Amino acid sequence: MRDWLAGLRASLPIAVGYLPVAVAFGLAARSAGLSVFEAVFASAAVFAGASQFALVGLAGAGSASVVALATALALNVRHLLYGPVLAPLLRGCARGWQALLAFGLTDEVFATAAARLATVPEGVRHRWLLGLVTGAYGAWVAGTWLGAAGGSLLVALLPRLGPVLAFALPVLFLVLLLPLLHGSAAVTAAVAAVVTLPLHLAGRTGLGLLVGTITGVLAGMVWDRWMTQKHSQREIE
Amino acid sequence: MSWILLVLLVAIGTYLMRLLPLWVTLRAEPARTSGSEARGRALALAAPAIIAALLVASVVPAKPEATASEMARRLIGLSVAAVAFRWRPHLAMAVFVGVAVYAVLSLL
Repeated sequence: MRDWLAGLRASLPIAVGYLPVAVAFGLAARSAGLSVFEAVFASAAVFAGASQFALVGLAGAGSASVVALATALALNVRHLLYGPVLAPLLRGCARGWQALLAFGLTDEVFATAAARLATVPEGVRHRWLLGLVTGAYGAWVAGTWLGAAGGSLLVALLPRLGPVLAFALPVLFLVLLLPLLHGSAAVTAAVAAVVTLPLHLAGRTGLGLLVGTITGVLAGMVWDRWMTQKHSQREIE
Repeated sequence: MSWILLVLLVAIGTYLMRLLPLWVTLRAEPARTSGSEARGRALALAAPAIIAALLVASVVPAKPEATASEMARRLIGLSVAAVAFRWRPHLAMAVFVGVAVYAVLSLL
């Protein structure tokens, strides 16, 4: 219970950032003609913001279901990278726990887990991660319900309060990144950011995240090799 | 296709994209090969790469609707959060400070 609560506490910045985005999703779903149940069901089942917004947008615009399905899934391709990164940290977990925890691997949950899970004792990592997922998932589903069922008060509040609360997510990413920035990881992060930016600005954010990550990792590995060679040359001299 | 069915298909696809690579990696782990060291290094570097990419995507607006003053507010909020985290490495506090500074600047 204590480890679950620690994970839940760690989810607070994610929950704060998720709430306004989820409320916005609830509102968008209602304006696209979906019922409160349909909006909440989407958040509860998919738990992936970008693809949910795409679904609502495309379904609302009357696009073919196959197009909506392919687009929503394409937006989540980057999630393929999350499992392999977390695998060494979850090796001790039972398969049932892995199956449960994988459901909650959103961008923000992944980033927090990747940066902090190593500091959690191995035997309780699954409970800590469950707490993290619970907080993020609870905020996402509750926020969607608030947006879908809420009235004009939310519509009035959201333009002012929404951006402020949503700013918690970039700050969270930055604070998670800072302790990782040393040696080749710093080079990796810099290259990933630089490569992601133009694709993101061109409206291809999903592709940018994928290409940026792969390029960043390759650059970090090249840097590693170069530094090792430099070091061994110095030793020979 | 009904909305519920569409959502279910996306949910299943998303879940499998999150779960299967995890299981495949864990299953491959015991069979260590000569390339496993490089793979381990690549996976270790993937975390900072992904987080940096997510940071850029969440700070810079995809559509050029943000004004220079909005970008300045965001950068100041992030800088103050970074300084707060360096001063006292407490994640939630640093996030709170960054958001609070951004909120105050947005009100001005």
